[in-house]
Amino acid sequence: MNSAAALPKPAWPQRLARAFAFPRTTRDYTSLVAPQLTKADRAGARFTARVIDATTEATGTRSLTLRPGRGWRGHRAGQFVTLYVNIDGVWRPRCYSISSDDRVKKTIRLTVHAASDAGVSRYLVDTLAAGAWVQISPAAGDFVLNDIAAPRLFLSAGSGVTPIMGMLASGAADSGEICHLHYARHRDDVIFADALRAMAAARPGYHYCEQLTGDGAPHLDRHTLDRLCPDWRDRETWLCGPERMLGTAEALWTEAGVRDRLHIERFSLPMVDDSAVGGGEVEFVASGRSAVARPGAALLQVAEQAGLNPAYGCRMGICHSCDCQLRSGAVRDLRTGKLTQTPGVLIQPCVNAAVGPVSLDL
Amino acid sequence: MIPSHLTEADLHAIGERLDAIGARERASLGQADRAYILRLIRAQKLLAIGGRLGIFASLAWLPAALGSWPMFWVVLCLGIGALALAKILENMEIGHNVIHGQWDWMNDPAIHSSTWEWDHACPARQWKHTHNVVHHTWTNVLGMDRDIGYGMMRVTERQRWHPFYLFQPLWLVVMAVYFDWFIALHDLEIPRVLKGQRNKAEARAILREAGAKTGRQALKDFVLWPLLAGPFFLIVLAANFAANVLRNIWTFAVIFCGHFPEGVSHFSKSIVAGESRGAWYVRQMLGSCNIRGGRLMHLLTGNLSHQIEHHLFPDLPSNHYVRVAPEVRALCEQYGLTYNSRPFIRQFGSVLWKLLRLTFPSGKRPRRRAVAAG
Repeated sequence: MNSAAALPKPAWPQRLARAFAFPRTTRDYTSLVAPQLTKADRAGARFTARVIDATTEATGTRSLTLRPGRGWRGHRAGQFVTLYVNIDGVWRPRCYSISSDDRVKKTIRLTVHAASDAGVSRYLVDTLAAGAWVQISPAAGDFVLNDIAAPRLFLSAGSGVTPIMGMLASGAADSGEICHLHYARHRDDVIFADALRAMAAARPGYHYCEQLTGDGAPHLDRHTLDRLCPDWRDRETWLCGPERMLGTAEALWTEAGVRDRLHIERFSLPMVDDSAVGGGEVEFVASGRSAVARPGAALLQVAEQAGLNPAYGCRMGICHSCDCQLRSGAVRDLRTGKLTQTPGVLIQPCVNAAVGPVSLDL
Repeated sequence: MIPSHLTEADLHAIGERLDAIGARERASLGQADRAYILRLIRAQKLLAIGGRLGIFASLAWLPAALGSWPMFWVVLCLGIGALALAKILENMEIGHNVIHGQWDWMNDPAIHSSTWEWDHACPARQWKHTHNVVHHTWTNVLGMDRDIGYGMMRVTERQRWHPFYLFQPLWLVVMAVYFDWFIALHDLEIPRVLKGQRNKAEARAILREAGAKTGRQALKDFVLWPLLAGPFFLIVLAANFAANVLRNIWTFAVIFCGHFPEGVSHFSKSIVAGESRGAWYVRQMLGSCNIRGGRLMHLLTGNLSHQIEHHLFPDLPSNHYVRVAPEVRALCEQYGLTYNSRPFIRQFGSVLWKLLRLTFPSGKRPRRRAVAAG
């Protein structure tokens, strides 16, 4: 609970009230009548938020407007939050970019695209209704605009337009020169199409160009860039899109020797091949060490062999003494075979093995 | 000892069967389970508020005001009862089970084993060590499970007699009344400290942590809330103390029914070397005892009335134990294992009788009929 220790000490009336309620907090009791005042956790890592509006933007895409409860400190355009939504009794976390104006502090808008028929995004697009309670993390991420006085290039594809929309909504186009290339499959798939076209009509410095790959436009390449934005090498560029597009761009910008002008936001995680037998590079973030796990080796053992001394108990998955956070990657429960690959969830390292590269908060 | 009629193949089959039952129940967890624990926590908070209000409301019938002694006592006792019930629910069906990690699957930081602190003198962190780790891993292994008599009592013939045990009947009463304070001292391992086997700095840190938690509990119940009553300080203090003692006596009785009744098995250290998953399960079943009863009994014992199922699946939400119990019982019957389940009065009666008997240096068990019910 390091983050809890970092919280400021409350004033004496609150501390006195808390002493009456100990070991609960006074808010645990006020939440009986006013749930919106409740922080989702004591460490301040999650805030309760209410969905006050849900609007369909395009096929399979929906914008959710949230009103965060107490403690929310706002965001900077381009940042994301981890949204927790309760499905079948479990708070399931997913990261979404904020697409709304960062000068508005009371509400935020998240824009969610459901790429598959199941999962959290599909639930948010199809099922979640206005009025529902969700939880969000504080805004995070360094995909934000800088102060360099150069013309800008925005590159986005599909739902990668959300953080870019956040920047535009926050006044990025009010001054300066912006070229925005947006990739989508079809005209109907373009998220924020009306808003972007309207902005292009109203703001002389903002040039918006749609590339519809379903209608024959090529994916991102040098030829397109040279044609639509000839001075791309001189611009500060912000890019959010699928992994393949990021790879192409990184290669182009590196080749041109201007990689430092390219700012990237990744929004898709490479999915684990389910047939992988396991093992892999394990990174222990908190201690800054790493090790290679043999297939089927319990992560607790791997940590100990790497010289770490983590807390542990039964070593058989019953006592939860060794629970730690999965930062990234996938692990498999050695008892049940269950695969876990949600970043941020707690896992039991004594009974889980790495499936591919894994990063743990140990 | 693990019964000799069980073969390696039997143990393996038992392990597989119980693993499958556990996996099936875990897979079935969902919205209904979340609703259950949220409803319970809400009811517990309302009971706690109601109990405290009841205690204060009773003061209105003192002679200085409405002047009705019978009403005073009725309202006071209702308040004490509600507060005691709130503490029992918080400690057993909520606290004990949350701290076990039974509700961690919800990924809710407000109801999670890593953050839950319970309304009890023992710090949750220390409880996780003495209970979740030591007791649940080494259940009923002599010299390893420190819950066998809590280092103070002789609960099996296999513990060597010592004149100290002559005080056992006295300990029994003192422990029942102050049970939460005894538990708060459990992680300190006083016998080891006295023998000088424990690192002094470590022991001091544990004592300080337990002292701080016990102090905050006492400050709340025995100072702050009574102070709100002004001149009636002592009445509220006595009422809060009574609620704590009621909780202590009940939890003491339930916990002593878990592993000390007649017919329960204890094991030698040699059993744990290379113990298979199946053998571990068998040890848990033979080392635990259930209390037969209805839904209210299960709720008030925090489902420790399903001690056997709890020891098989300590981190499975407790509301699922009642569903797996018939299968566990059938499995025991199939393999000729004792499934020790009797009503509360008989279980607790057998504990008291056994503890009195073991006060004296007899190593022999009196002849009795088979103790395994059903």
